[in-house]
Amino acid sequence: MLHKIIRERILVLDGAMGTMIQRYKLKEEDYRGDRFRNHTHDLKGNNDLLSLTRPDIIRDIHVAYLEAGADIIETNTFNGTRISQSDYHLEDYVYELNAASAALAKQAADEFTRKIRTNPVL
Amino acid sequence: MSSPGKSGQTPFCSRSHGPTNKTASLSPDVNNPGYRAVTFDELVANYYEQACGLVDGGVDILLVETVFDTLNCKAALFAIQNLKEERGLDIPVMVSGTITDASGRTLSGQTPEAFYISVSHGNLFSVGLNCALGPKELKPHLKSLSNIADCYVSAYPNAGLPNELGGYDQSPEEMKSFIREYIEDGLVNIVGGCCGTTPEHIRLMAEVVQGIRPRKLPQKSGLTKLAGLEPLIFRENLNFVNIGERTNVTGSRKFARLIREKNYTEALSIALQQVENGAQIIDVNMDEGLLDSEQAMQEFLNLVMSEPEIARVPVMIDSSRWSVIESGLKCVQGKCIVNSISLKEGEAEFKRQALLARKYGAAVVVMAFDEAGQADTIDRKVQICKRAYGILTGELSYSPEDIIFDPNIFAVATGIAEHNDYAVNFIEATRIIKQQCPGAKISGGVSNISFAFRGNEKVREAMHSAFLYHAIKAGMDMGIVNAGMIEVYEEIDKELLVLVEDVLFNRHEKATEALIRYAEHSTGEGKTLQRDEQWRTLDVEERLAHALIKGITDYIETDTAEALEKYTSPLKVIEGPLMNGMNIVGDLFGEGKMFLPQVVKSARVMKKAVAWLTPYIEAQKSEDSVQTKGKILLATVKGDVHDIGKNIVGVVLGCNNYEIIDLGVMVPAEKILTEAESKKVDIIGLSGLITPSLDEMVYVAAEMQRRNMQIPLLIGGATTSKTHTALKIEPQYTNAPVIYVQDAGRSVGVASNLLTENQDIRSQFIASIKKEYRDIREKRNSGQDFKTYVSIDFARANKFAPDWNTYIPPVPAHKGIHVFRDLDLKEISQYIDWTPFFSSWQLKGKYPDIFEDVIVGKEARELFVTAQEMLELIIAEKRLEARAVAGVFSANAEGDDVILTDGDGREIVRLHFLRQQREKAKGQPYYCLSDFIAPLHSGISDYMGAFAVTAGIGLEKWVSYYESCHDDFSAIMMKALADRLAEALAEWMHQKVRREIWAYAPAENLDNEALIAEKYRGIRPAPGYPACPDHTEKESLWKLLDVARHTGMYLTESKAMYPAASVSGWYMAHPEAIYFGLGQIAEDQVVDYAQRKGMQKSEVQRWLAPNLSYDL
Repeated sequence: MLHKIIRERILVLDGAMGTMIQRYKLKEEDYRGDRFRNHTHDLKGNNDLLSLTRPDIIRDIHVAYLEAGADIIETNTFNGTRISQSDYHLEDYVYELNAASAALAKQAADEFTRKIRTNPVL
Repeated sequence: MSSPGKSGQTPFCSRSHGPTNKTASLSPDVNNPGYRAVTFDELVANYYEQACGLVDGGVDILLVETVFDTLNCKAALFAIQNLKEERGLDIPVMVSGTITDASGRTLSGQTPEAFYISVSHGNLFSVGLNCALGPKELKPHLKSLSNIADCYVSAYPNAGLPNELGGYDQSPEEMKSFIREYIEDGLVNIVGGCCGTTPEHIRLMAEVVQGIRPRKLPQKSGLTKLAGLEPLIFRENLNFVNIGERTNVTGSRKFARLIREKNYTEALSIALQQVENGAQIIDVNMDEGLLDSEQAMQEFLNLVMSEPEIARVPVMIDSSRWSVIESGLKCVQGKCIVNSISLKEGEAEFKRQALLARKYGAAVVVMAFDEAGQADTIDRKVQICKRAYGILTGELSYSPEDIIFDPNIFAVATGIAEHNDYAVNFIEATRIIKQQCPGAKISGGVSNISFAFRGNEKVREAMHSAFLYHAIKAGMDMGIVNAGMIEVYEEIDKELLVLVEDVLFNRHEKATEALIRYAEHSTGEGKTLQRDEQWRTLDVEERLAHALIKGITDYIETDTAEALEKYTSPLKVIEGPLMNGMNIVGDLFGEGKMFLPQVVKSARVMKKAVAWLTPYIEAQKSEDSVQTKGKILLATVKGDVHDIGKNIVGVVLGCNNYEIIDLGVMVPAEKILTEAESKKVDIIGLSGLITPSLDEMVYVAAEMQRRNMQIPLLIGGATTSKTHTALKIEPQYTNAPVIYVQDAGRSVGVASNLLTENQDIRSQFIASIKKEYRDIREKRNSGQDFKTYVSIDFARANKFAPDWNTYIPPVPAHKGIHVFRDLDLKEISQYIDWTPFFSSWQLKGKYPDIFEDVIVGKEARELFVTAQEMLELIIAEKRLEARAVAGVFSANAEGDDVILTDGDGREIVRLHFLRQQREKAKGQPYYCLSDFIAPLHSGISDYMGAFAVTAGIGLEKWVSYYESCHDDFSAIMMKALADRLAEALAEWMHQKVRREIWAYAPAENLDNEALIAEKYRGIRPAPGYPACPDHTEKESLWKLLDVARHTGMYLTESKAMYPAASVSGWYMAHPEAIYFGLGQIAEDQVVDYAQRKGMQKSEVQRWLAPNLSYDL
């Protein structure tokens, strides 16, 4: 499907995730959520973690880009490696962060496709 | 916001794979460049874990983005490949790199091309650039990437460059306009935004891509591509590639000792020397029993990667142990070569290693070695290589261009009879393998061949050189050599060469014995780098002469200073040793023993010496000046901008001790003559390239007569001729000799005959010229030269008339004007026709055969190397900017005119062409360019195009820079290359028009040789040249394409194009369109033409003077 479409037209990728997250002016508590309330290190700025603690925001951003006309949206996993998450002492959550972020994006894309009922998602 | 419901919008979700915050190619500690904060294996584990999560979560695409260190990216691709293999996944992979600054490199130092080559093994869905720069700044780098990538291309820049607060300000509308440029230039398949972009930015981008055809995937080039920080692409014009051998512990005792002692600083300097001496790849080998080879390989390569001057070339990781190779592969971000794998341990191990090499992104050397041992016969070599090729390209789907065969170079002349055919076997096997394994390359360790002559460098170097000469002819592409130490084949002592070739080709039984006998008697001194410094021990006079003859500037100031001490007066230094040296140069040139480029280099040395002495001359305030043979004033006449030939004449005369006053280009007659009088010059030389300059020269001659001057006048330049000088110029100026000078070489003889103190010689010379010119005039007047011309009506009635009824003119894909700025000079340079380059240096011969020419071959090769170096600088430093404008328009012929119209059928310009009138055999057509365009009355919609291109933007700055350094050689070289680039650009533009803009030959695929031979459909005649010699028609071209505004090129009063390195012309696509020469025309057509153009007859006669069949 992807291979067929790209031969026919130029595809549009989404825009910045970080810039959009900044607009929500989130605080340390937002990043921690319930689940990481007692985590030993500061978590503010760990945008990838929002996929677990504020999935509503990440989903809204995905939807905004899909409605703007993006063909491809990027998961919220720019810092989704053990090396990067070690800054927050969250190495052990890396797999979960990535899987959850992927599911969020996939879900947003699927719902959007159902809504516009044109071509099915792969 | 409601759903826009764009048709065809199909969301995919991709995984954003950040780069991690640690780099694998760079050290975080400036004091320890070999240190790495993270290893390749750690990165692979990290990325693997992330990829698992994303794939389990359901992504459709994996995207490795914001790559600032290609080695990190290669680790990510390695992890993804592992995951794909384990799960049998077929998920598309996108890669997006980041250019961090204006230099156009990634943080780890690679160019966009090198970056692409280094990740292209990942079977990528797309490659692209994101972040760091705004869309405007990103564009040139995106263009480089788009040019080379054979997968889809993506771009998602930031919303401009960050402001003082680190925010991004570029509005969605602004960004949209840049993205539109990407699309219109056909650069991208995927667009999006990075830092600072918002859904509004994306919404406008989605709008702008609607209904636009995306960039098409180029055909796979099939070229072998390697990369260090810079790319190494095995294009057809790439000569033999030298692989530096000195960083090998088994081959260099010194290197082995340095590595054992961990003296890496010196070990690195050996690598650097190899690169400086011309190694295009360096071979690194750490196979020694006493070393921890894996660790040594890793430590050394990490250090190499920290030295940009070394790391710019690709690495060949050389070991007989796979574990050592693998440890090396984990350190190198570029695309390197594994040396080597083989079938020695069976197919299973061979395949395992081959697949791993590809996963690390390396090309492989496959040695002709199988389960039965190393191949030494032709049959075995060929059979093993074919078997390996079959497995690799068949079972493993390897790209043939990633395979390099080493058919084993073994020592000859060992005294063992079986070894005598080893050289022949390699050469013959190479020939067959190249035929039977298309796309694969051939390499080998060259020094092995001469192993029997260890200690005798002279014989060894001769053997290497002769062996390579024949192996390269057979198809050898690269070899491991001691870069910088290869003797030139032609320079091998002839007696030795015969002995060496007897051995290499096993010509007779006694060959080895004869070579050994020779070796015993020869000194054994090879081409050492020190030997060249022998001349430094000579006397200062001899040193100066040597430097002048060889063109060496390195010591000229020291030596001049020493001479000044000895001679005390600066003038005596010039008149004594310096002039003596130049006299030798002049003599050698006169005898044909030196060639023009060498003479120009000699002049550079002389100028530097004189420049050094000048302050001393001024300090002495002495009245006396240097005694020269005479003062010569040179100028390119008003309206003309071409001066390469004039500058060369100046240099050559300067070398022969004439004082040159060069007034430059576009010099009005008044200035030339006033200067000549006030400076009391002995000779005036005029130069010009375009036909209107002939008329200007006539005017200058007439003015000289009017002023009653007595100075001899020399005439030179491309359109000038003996006939024109005799017929038109000489009669205007009878006071003193007027002489046509064909080339720089002849200028010396003419000047010396004119200025000699021996009055007999002088008057004899002048009389013989006068007689020669008088004969030319008489012959012309007596009608011996008489030719018949038909009337213009007759010529028109017998025009060339293709069958318009059956002809369907191709409709242009993109009508209107197309502007190109800041074109990629590297790409353009591929289109250079080198033959005229050599003739501008007076080296006659066709490229590339000229290199084999017995007389000028050696000089041509040297000149070519220098030209390539300068060309690389021009490209790398963007010293010149290339611009082009072209367009195709609706057109129909009306009589001999062609009318070009816009979309609404309104006339834009009317072009006036001329028709042949010289009488021909019956049935032969009288051509006019308008014959190739469908006539108005035919009712057929036809088209015609036009173009103007220049490669001269920025040239002047460099020329004056070199002139200020007293380096005429480089100044002339810059100009000559700019001219070649302009011609190449015209070729490139025409091809683009044929394939894409007019697109009547979209599938045309010609190599440069075929392009030079004009094997394509259509022509591009230039106004001012034989088919349409009226230069004033360029004005219509300028108007049609708005050339001045689009390119900055303008026309002088003689309609010469400025900058000089420019080309313009018309495009005609009729399959029968040909180039022809108008020749002379009769008065009836001139009258008719003046009417058509609305010009006075006298004015037309002035512009068309060389084409008039009648006298005025």
